[in-house]
Amino acid sequence: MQMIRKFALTGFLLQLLFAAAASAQCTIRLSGTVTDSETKQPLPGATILVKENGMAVKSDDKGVYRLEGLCPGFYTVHISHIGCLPVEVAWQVSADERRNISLPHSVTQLQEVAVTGHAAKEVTTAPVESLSGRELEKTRGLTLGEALKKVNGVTSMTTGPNVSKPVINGLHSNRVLILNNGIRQEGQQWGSEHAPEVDPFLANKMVVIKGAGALRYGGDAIGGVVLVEPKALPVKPGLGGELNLAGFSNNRLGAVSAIIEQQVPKLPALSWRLQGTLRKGGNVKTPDYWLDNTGVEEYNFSGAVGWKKPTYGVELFYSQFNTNLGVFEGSHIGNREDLEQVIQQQRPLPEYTEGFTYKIDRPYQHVEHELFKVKSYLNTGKAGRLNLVLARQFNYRDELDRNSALSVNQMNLNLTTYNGELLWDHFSWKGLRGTIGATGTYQQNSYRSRLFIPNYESLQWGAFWTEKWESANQKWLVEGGIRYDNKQYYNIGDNAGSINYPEQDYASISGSLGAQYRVTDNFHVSVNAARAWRPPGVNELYASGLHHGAALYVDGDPYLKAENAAKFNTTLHYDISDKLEADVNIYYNYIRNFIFQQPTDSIVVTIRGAFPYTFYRQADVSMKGVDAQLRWQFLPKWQLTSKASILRAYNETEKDWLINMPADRFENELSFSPGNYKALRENYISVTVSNVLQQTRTPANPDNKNDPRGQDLVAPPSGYTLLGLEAGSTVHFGQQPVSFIVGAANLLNARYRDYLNFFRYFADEPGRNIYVKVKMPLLFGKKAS
Amino acid sequence: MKKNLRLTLFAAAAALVLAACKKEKNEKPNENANEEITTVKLTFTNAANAAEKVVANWKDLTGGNPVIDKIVLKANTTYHLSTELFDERKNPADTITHEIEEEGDEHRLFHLFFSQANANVADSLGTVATVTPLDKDANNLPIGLEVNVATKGAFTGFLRMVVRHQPDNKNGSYGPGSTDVQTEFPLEIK
Repeated sequence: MQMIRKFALTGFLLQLLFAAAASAQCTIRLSGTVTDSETKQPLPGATILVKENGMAVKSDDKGVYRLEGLCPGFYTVHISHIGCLPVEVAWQVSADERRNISLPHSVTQLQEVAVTGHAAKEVTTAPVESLSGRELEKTRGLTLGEALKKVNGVTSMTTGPNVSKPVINGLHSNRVLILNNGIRQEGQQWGSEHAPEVDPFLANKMVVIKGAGALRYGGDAIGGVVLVEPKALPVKPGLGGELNLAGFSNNRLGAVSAIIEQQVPKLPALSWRLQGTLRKGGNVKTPDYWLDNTGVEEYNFSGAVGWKKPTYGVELFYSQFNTNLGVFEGSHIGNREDLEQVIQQQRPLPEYTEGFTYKIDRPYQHVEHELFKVKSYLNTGKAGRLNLVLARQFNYRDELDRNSALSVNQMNLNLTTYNGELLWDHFSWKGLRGTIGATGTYQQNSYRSRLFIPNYESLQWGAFWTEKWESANQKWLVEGGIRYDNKQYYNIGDNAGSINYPEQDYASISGSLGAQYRVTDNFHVSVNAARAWRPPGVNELYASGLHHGAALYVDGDPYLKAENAAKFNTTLHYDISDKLEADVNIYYNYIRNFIFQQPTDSIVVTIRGAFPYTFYRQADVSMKGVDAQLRWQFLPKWQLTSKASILRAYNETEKDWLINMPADRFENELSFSPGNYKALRENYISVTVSNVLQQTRTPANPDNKNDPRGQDLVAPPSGYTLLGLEAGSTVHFGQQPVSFIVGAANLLNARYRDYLNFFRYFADEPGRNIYVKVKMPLLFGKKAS
Repeated sequence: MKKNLRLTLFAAAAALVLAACKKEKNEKPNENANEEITTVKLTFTNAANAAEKVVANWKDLTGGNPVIDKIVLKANTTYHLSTELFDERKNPADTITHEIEEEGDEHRLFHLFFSQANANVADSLGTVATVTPLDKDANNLPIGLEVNVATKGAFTGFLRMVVRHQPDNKNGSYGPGSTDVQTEFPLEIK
């Protein structure tokens, strides 16, 4: 005992030496109603048991159950009632959730237990959507940015087929936080051609929090937060795992990802996991031609070890992400004239569209990202729990241009980040649950070769306090929080010490307040108001030089002010049993001092020719829109899912539209689930029609209002419609279930261009892509289940 | 089973140790990477009179503020034009011309005439002078470092010197590849 205490203390102190972000909140409440699947009547007195920690409750006379004080994690919840078949629900928990459970009558003796009609809903006043289970499996093999497009209101900003960044309601890059396993991802996020360095196979669940309410993750999430959450470490003794395979026809991309994990039987507190992913693809083909040098290779792995006791716990996590990304040679432009030339041709030069190969040549990007994290908690009596998270990240980026003896043809950036977070969660006190915390981040960047982003150091610290209150009858939920942040940039200069940029220091307060009212069990209304602020990013302040990909001269402004956003969300949820479900999120976002790149008609003369001059400036903008979703099971085996996402982004200072905002989009999916057939279970076949309109709201050319190009080089591409087809099944080989998904994206091989792809200037989007995905749980020896 | 497990753990630990990230030492270099070319020097020598030379420089030592000489040539005269590129931030100045010679089969210099500054390549004028390359690369295609320029009538406009980088696809024409250097000089022929 003495030993263990000592060990725990050393562990705790050790972590203090390092310098991280979000972590466990053990104040989670799971609730819902238990009903009889036949009669649809509520079932009072049903027993709800959490197998992992033995927590058990009974449903009340309205069939309502409530599990309180859970930590984030993976749980097996066993629900039983006299006269019914018991049901087990595997539940990945990261926030308050409500899930209704229907129990089948034992008399009907169904082979397969239909657990619940609709997925669990997170209980929060902010608009939150998540991808998990089947929906997540459908995205396996895609990049993070592409996978998140499944979430309504999320689009992606792309630079060709391999680089994709999530755009939440029109905002992206510096305005969207990505939390990889609880740690704020710190890479060179500022670049539109810099994809997040995250392995999506790590995730068991991906959550998108739209809007600025997610204070605990940072006050600067003006666009929103993406949480990439791995499964919690196993709590059941035994060795297990999962194997995922994915193959795509278009670029002959293959992906393999495996997880192996164990809760060590002899040491109940100890569990571990190893995970690795390999991904390799070659050149991408548009309907008419290949895009040379668009191959990709990726090799990632991670390992986690956890020591968990009832009163304290420690978890170590290490991950590495490595990639080589081919940059389409036809997109690598020497100067402005080259770009205009290729735009005129409508398609890339024939020498850049020759054929398929896996080989990656210059120009390409080589990126490595390493994360090391220590997370620990200590229960502070019955009152709450103390959490400490410390993390270190290295981000290494090499951008190698075309071979040329005549110019500096590479850029290398090296970013090191340390962060730490100390949080105290307090458990329910008069219906109030909350977290108080402090965070700190130190960051250092250095470059080699070409100067674009200078060397700098930055220090950021913040403190926050959030509380949540739910009325005893669960009709009302009120959430609020406040946060203070300070960020400073210092020691900013070039390698020779010939340029020294002015240092900057920003500080402000952000806050959010929201309420939810459950009019009936089937109809909820939430409102949420938030104030957020974002200090300018390092590129906006200090970038200077040629942006080679875009053939633009970019100038930062070291005296930019911080962005200030006021964001309002109203979310409506309505459902009739399992048959019909509707969600609508209406938002209004007013951002003062919004930072954007302003094109000008002046030019900078360099040895490479003349380049248009752009600079960062600020204006007041408003962004309003609607994300709506409807799921309707109109016949017993048939379901229609419709999504619409509409955004209006307006520059209030200039009285004109904002550039590079996603066009309105609609998606309809019709799916048919024929039921089980012999060993084939959970079968489905679906057809998806995605429709993206042309963006017609772009800023006008001040010299010629009728120029369809406005301030851009070309007019926005026309709208397009894509057809997708997919079928899936789970085959049971004895006890072993194996899930298969087969499908085709862009089934009709449509030729189109997307407004948010930088390649719209000179190349089409990829053509038809047929894919196969396989998921196989790995069972070793006697696995308890 | 147990043995397998130990093996797996060992392999995993080994993988973690061996596959450490390629992080650079955070030693900052103490000099900036130069853009490497600061100066384009055009030397026109009258073919009929070697003593008569016209020299024009395009020089940018600070980045962004080039000093550009005006070229004044005689009408209906043939000049031998020699193009040189230097990095004058180095001392002594580095001659980049050699690199083009060495990679002659990947580069092609063009001397084009325009009536307007920063005009489209398609608007280049064939009526101002005839440019005849004198040098050849390994594939017997012209490089353009040494050319003859035979002026025609009087003209006021611009001479553009472009170095096209055409790895794998140099065929003598302007189209393939991309631009490494593009400089423009005011020109008067009288």
